[in-house]
Amino acid sequence: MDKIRVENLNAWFGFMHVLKNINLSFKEKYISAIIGPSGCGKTTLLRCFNRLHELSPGARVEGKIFLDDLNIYEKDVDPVIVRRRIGMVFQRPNLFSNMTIYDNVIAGYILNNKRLSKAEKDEIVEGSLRLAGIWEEVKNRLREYPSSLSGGQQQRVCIARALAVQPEVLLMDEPTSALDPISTYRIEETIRELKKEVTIIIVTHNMQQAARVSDETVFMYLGEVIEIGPTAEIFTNPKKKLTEEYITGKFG
Amino acid sequence: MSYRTRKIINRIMLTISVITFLIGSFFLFWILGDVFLKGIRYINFSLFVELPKPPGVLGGGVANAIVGTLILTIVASLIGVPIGMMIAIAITEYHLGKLAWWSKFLTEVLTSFPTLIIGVFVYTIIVIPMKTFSALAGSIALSIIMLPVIAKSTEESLKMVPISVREAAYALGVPKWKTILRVVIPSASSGIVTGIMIAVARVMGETAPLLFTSFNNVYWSFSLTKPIGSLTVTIFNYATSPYDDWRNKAFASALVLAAIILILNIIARIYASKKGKH
Amino acid sequence: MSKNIGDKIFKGLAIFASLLLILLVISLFLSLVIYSIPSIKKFGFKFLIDKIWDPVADKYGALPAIYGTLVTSFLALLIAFPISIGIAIFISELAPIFLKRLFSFIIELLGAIPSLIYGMWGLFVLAPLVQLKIGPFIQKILGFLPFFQGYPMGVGYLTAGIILSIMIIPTISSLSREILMAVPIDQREAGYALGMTKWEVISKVVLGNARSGIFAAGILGLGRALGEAVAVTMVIGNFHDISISLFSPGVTITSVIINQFAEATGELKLSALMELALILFLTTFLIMGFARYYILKRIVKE
Repeated sequence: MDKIRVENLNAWFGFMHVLKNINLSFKEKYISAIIGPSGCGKTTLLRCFNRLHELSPGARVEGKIFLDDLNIYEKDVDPVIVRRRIGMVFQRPNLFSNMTIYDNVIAGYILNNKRLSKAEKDEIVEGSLRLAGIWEEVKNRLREYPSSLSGGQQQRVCIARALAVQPEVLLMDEPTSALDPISTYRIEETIRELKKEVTIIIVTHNMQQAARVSDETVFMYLGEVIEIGPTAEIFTNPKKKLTEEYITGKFG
Repeated sequence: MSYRTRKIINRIMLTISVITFLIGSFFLFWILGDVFLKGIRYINFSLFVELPKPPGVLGGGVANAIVGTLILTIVASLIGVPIGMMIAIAITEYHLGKLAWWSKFLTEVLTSFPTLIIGVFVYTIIVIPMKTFSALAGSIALSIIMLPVIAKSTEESLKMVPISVREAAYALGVPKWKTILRVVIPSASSGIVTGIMIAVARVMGETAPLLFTSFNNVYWSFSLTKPIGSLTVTIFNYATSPYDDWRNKAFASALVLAAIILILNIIARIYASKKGKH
Repeated sequence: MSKNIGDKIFKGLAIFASLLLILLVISLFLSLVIYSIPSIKKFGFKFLIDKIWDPVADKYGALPAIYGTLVTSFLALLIAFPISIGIAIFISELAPIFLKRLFSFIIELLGAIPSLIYGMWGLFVLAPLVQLKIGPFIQKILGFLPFFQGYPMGVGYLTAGIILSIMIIPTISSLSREILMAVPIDQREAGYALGMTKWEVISKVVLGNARSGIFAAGILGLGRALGEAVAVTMVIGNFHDISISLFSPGVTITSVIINQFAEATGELKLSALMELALILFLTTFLIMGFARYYILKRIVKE
């Protein structure tokens, strides 16, 4: 079943047409990777899924994106509500520096003034950190501030923070690009685990990463979707010449 | 020009540069030292707890003026800090185009605007209609002086907060206004607090805008609608008076004022240097 | 669920605050204009060139005040500008890195001292010094110049100018310092690579790059001097006349307003004072606006 379906999506930055008539869909509880050279629009596409793109000055979006049956670009849809259903992990860890690790994990509740009992909070924090595969490392440091953690640990707390509000979809924008190989490996492991819980769309620069973690791969070039298909197929037997040239390293 | 003369010129000019700095710091220590030496002798307990005495009668204090300055500063901050912060938020967080340009430009211009004119202005819009000098008028004049200082320092601190922090909150489904209030401002708090302390220190030392707004009062006053004494106006009157006893009190009070202002500035500076500790 | 009402209110408040600021400046201007009308009607352009200030005859002229303001402010700029540039050069080019912040702080503290305390120091320390030491000394060397005629009274243009110069040093030097520090290192290195001495690099490369910014800093300092009130009032002498000698007492726009405002009972006198305030408003607004716009534009460009 399709979790997200994109219909005739166009996006602009000022006069720059960065996404050109995108049509595609993502299956539920799948991991889908979006790959392509820098500037191909993959990050912009990801940021359209939770209506983050439109917040940049001069940015504009046209078209439809369905989350289940809801067109999130319908006039009376509040982007804030959409974002509560679709979580996001960014390129660089961006924990709130003025909150403890514990509060960061439940920031989605705190900042929206949702009252929880102590037991509920503890349960959410532990569960989310376990899902993100970092519970053992931070369980005794929950009252510390995030700056005491390494970049890889911070990024996994970011994943926990996104998971804590139980999103239906998790967007990941090059989540390991700022991390060392070991942290990258552990996060990839986490991503594969998460597949049971949530639909994942991951943008990555790193083709091996796409090959390692994803079920489906989308290849984009100059703001257009060139090819979409099962990951194994895209990497072993691409249908389009452009895709083949990219994955064999002829450009990008 | 030979290399030797070039080197000599180099020496001379660099020495002059060092001397200019010494001149600047010399005046700082001279002025503060003068206030300290002349003031410390006349600081006593009654200065802080007694009301002023008429000229010729020895003794008395400036307790009402100290309280008056506190009242004026607090009311001014209650008005000036939120409005100044909202101006900064409008400039940095919302894309308002021309309006943002104008408010930024006017904050810049107002930052070093003659405060006397602000006093005259408040006289026309508050004192004349109310038909009396008042603590309220004084506070409003001071709040206008605070506005640009607060707006500028808040704007600079808000700009230091990375966009990614705002996006992290948006991605969690937090509305923009809550993101600003609960994520962006707390992240920028050290810079904002520093700015507030500097603004408070600045208005505490203002005399000119109070002369025609809060005026003066030699008795206790806690009412916003009546004239109120302040340290600066009292010092100004005492210092320019022909009575030795009043002049001595002026120096003692000036020492108190200078100490408060310097301490505020130093705390603000230490606080600012702790930026990004977490 | 409807779209977030909180967002709309909050944005509305932010816009309201910005509009309030603009409204404030406009009403500031308008109220000065409105209260100046009786004086403008009565005296017209003559207000600017008339020397007489006579509350008894209800006749007012602004020339001594304008003259005093200009003389003291330019004198202040003349003294403060080179010193401030020297300080800026010292902090940005010569001081060791770990002391830069402390040194900047010392100069900034000079700007944090209330003008009232400058006034007291001026009245009780500087004025006697000018009267007994500095004045006679200058007279001995430069006594033939028209600027240094007559007996130094202590209070007067010279004392006010010196006080103002100390007060605007922090303004000019901290802005200049920022501008100097913004000149890229590679520009300096290019100079050294050509065999220039440190001073040659500073004067030709660094100052050359920062020229327009330092000019704007000077203008801003001038603007501050024009509007300074309490300290000047305490040392200017409050004598309604014009004298070419810097030893003479005089008045400035701000000192006239401070001394006469509280006792301005007549409508015309109040109006004349308002017109003085209006003149000061327009001058400083134009000067500050020019300098700030100039600096803002530079920053935007970078």
